[in-house]
Amino acid sequence: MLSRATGPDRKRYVITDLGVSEVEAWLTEPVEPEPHLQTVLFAKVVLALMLGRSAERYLDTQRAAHLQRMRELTEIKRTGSLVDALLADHGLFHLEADLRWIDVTSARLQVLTEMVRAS
Amino acid sequence: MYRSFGQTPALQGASLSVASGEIVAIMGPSGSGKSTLLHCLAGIFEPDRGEVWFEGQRLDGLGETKRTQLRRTAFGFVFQFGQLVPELSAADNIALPLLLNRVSRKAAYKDAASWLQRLGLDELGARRTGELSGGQAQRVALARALVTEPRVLFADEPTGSLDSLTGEMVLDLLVGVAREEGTTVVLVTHDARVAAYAGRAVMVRDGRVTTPSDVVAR
Repeated sequence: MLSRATGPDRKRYVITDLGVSEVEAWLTEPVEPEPHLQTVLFAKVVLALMLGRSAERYLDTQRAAHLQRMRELTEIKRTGSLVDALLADHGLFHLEADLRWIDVTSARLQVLTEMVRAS
Repeated sequence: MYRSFGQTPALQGASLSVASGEIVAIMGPSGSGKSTLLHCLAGIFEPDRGEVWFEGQRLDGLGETKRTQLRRTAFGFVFQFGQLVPELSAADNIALPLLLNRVSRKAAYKDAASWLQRLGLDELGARRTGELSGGQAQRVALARALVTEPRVLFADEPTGSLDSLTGEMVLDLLVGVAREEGTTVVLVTHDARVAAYAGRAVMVRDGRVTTPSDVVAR
């Protein structure tokens, strides 16, 4: 507890050095490519900008992870049965949607950075 | 490599290495320089600055005649719209590069027939390419690119004008044949699903190649 503000009892916290390291590690690690992870990606981008980190680098890292997963699914499509191909396609289309969001966000980073830092 | 068109810089220090037999996708937004990069690697454009090396030989600085010869013998090309000669038959289009390389007519058409069969176009050899569907024409373009047994196949949005399923069929054939023949493939695409057919993808941004960190080497 750092100080007692006026009004009801409050506790104020600051992040520890260990906490900073853990946030850095979390930002750097790509999220496992799976459907519906956009909210996590969004949080990472905004937090990265708020902390003055390179959101572009995190987006590139995530893009690489997505592409690797797409390569795996594409190989399944090429070598598997029709059912395998249909399942793989489902995954591929979702991953493609994420990649489109990553590309659009990457293109908007400069404006987003200014907005986040101004707020 | 650096390359500009007038006052417009297209490549600003782009650097890329491709191993023999590798299939690499070059991705990036429109105007990023990815097609210019492919054209420089293929010896179609000369960079304003920088070097292009192929099998220990420097390409930039070679005269146009020598680069043309290299493109005819060592490189194959597939473009988005095929660029076939519509008045000629499918077999004629496929045989053409061999005929230009002074292969005998008999041998050239025998090879063309073999490729027509290999790519599921057996019955279409006599048809003019202007009469073929998009997918059929692109398969003819692929056969034409591969008939000279190139060491490197350069493909610029090879499925860009095709619907999804047809595009996947063409890519399946392209990758399958490349792997069988050990052909190196450099593929430009903006489409992640196309890039997923490659073993590696690099991004081009503002005329530079950026490679995502290797987070998937687990």
